[in-house]
Amino acid sequence: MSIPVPFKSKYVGQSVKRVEDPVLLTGRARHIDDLEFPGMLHVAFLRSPHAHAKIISFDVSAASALPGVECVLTGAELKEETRPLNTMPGIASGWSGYAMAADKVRYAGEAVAAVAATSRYIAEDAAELIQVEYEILDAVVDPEQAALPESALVYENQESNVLFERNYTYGEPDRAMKEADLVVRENYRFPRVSGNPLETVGVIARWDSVADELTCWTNTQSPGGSIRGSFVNPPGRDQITAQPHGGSFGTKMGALLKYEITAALLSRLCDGRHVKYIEDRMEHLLASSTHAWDRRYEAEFGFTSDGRCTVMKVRLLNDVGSSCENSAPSMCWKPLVMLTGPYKVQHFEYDMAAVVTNKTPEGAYRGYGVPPHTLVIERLMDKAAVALGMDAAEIRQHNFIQPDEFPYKTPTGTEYDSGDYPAVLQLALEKANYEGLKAEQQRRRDEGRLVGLSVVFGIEPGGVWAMTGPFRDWLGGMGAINPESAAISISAEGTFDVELFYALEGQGQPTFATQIIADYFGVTMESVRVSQSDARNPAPSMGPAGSRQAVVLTFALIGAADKLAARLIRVASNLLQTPADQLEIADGSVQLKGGQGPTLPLGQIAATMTFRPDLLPDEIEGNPQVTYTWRANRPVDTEGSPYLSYANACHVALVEVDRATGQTSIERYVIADDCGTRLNPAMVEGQVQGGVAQGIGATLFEEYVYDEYGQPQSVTFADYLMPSIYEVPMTEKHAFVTPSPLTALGVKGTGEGAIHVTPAAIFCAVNDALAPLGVELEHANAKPERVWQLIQQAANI
Amino acid sequence: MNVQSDLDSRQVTVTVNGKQESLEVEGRTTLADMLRQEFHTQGVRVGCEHGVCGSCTILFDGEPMRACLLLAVQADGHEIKTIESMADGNKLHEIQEAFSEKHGLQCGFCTAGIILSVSELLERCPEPTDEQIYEILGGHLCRCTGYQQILQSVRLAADMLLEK
Ligand code: FES
Ligand code: FES
Repeated sequence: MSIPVPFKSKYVGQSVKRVEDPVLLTGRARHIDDLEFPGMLHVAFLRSPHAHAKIISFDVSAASALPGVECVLTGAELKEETRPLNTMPGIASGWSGYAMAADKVRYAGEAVAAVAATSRYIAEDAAELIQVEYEILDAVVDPEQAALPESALVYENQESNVLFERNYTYGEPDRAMKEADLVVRENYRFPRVSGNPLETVGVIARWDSVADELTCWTNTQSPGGSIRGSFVNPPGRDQITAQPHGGSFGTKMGALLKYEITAALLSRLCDGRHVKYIEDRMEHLLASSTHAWDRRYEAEFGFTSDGRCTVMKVRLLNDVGSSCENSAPSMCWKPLVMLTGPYKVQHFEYDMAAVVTNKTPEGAYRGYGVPPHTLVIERLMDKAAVALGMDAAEIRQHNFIQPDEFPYKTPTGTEYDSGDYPAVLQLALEKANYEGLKAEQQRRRDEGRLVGLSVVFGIEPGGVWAMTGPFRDWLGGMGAINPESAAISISAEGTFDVELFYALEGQGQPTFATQIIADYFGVTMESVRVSQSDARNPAPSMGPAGSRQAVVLTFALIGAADKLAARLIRVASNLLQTPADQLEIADGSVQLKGGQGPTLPLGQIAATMTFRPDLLPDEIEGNPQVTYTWRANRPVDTEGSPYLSYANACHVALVEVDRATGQTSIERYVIADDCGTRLNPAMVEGQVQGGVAQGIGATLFEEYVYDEYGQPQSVTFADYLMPSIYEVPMTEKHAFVTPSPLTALGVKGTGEGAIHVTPAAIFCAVNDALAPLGVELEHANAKPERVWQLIQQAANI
Repeated sequence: MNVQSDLDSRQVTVTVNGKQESLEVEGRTTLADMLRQEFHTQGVRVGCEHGVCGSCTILFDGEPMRACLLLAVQADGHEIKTIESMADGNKLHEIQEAFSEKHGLQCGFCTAGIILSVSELLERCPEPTDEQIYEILGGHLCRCTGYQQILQSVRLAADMLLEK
């Protein structure tokens, strides 16, 4: 299959250097905390020490009296001026508090009061002087207990702590399970983790009541929205702009809302002065609404005696923390778009429930709920393989959707666009020398060592184009389109300015935009400059999320380029007195198709449009600048897939578990993946490796731990362990390319693929290592103490 | 209670990126805050403020140090280098060039600190082993890259500096 590139590609497909690097490498990018404004005030919060407590009273007198303090705002005062954080229609409505706690606190670390002062130091001093009297309530900590009728309530306006229960049944799972020759079942837990970008979230608000305008400078992934609806007396207009991010991974979206609202109100109370709040790391770990995937699973799969999986039943209980202010619970729905993974299974039951507890609210994290689901599928495939005496690779090959079955419709109505799973798996096995690894494992096992080998496979939904399909249930039956825009202009010198409508966030979008536009017009990358809008002049954009930018921005860029090209050709047609359909663009000029005859440099056409509009016929728009907004040409009100592309990958991991310490070391890590056309292979590799690191973090190190009173135990980087270079293996990566037939240039999303598969790879390998001891890890976070305890258990059996 | 936070202000004289300056700072001001707010060397990134992530790393008399763990007053009489001193106008330093070549950064938030640590390593040890590189990079968290392209960047930087 050839790559469907509609132009001569000189840069597309090459690992060119990133155009945004010089700014980043010299420390010149202007992050949110780098912005300074005259007279700007700084915010510090007082946060609740209790997980669940009624607020009896506030005393802010000492704080207000401190020199340098301009304003103290309590949660009770804020409540009078604002609406609850979640005002979206749908399931989550009625399940959130306010930007600060007013009557009661629902998690340790929830803000109860805020101070605006002339420096952060003074603001923190003042916050400590605020007195709050609490009446401590029973904390709801365990999600299974939370679901019981006798549990204390996190929300008194609700009848229980159960946010929702849903059952999705496809085919006849009960019958299929009865008829299965082999049934494997297990319970699993996934740790509460989060994206933890190195830069936390932050905002600067200015609410000028004379101009009746609110501006929030932020580091959001999705600028251009509005928070007017959050206020009882809203500003006449508002704008949310974005600065470059120090990483985001889904955490810089809904988590900002509570801070935007509080900073905005403080600004209004301080006569429109700029008010800045930057989360510190401890606040981020403790209280940023970004935790994810605190999940328990019960899963049961049925197989025929020859190893065909006929039925899957997965029951999920998600502890979403104390609030639905962020869209986090919708992460329960995403697995519906890849419910059976890469396997052909017709009978499925997905039973899910979510409960609220007195923990930090969950928020989006790279993968959006798929990584735990993939882990469950892959681990049960392994268990079945063992029970049937099959090899891990063999059982997967046996169940794969085959290359000639694409587009493949899954039981839930999703359409997988393209792929060749057997070939991707085969490539990984070959590159890993799988047979050799197996022999090596056996040899070391014979020496009594705990060596594990895994071969796992995963699907990556990418290019989210709408909140449709399964997400409509979450949104109370509504769907929503997620458009993306690009603007291009050309100068009289023949250089191009491209504008994207979200901020620099690190995944290389300005670079591939430059590659595509340079190739499209046949110019050098140096003649293309990409800027990223601060959303003062927005065009519809969702920004980076859902492995979407390679897909949707490519569409938007080519759409914009087509629009500009058509305009340039019409002007050229007039100037050259040649019908437009005989002209084309190549090498930075308009020329006769086939390359004969005169050429007209694009810059000259732009110059004519700008300086000699008198030479243009009336009907030609004399503007060498276009904006194009892409949206998928599909109905939003369908059961179909919210994602356009389905990338896939096979990971092979070899690990050894130390008997004495329970520590896992990763010795080999081989990846073969198919994300369609690679716009810039080095950038793809960076996305994959970064996702591997986060997957390893979740399965070996990172975990937000709470004690029985709901007290968080992981509030510094000394407790929440982020993987360093010593913990992340240098992976071997191999590409297999099946271009997507549904996307421009055949790209598939690739930002989330590795974090989808890595947790499964590590978890399966650790369990394989422990297999000779007859014990099995059910908690997906295989931190040394957990594994060590299992090893002790085995010794005592 | 009255918190008089400016009581212990004092004069410090610091050389930052070759320029000497004297100024008043509160005793509790961190070096990171002074560099970012008073010297406007905002390439000093603050990721954790408790000494773990390494993003605030600067060169303190040539030694990599965490600016979030130092007080501004401790810099009195000392010489500090930040990422802003690395490039020569718009000509990138070899280490920066190598990071660009090998895609050693994504969001770039961790990068300034890493580059400064690496510059000290390569000065002290122009042909580092991987073990030595790991030792340096082990003091820095990067949440984006998974470290592989950073490792490759450092190896290339060493080669580039040797060839210079
Ligand atoms: S900010 Fe100084 S080490 Fe993290
Ligand atoms: S590049 Fe983002 S933290 Fe390192």
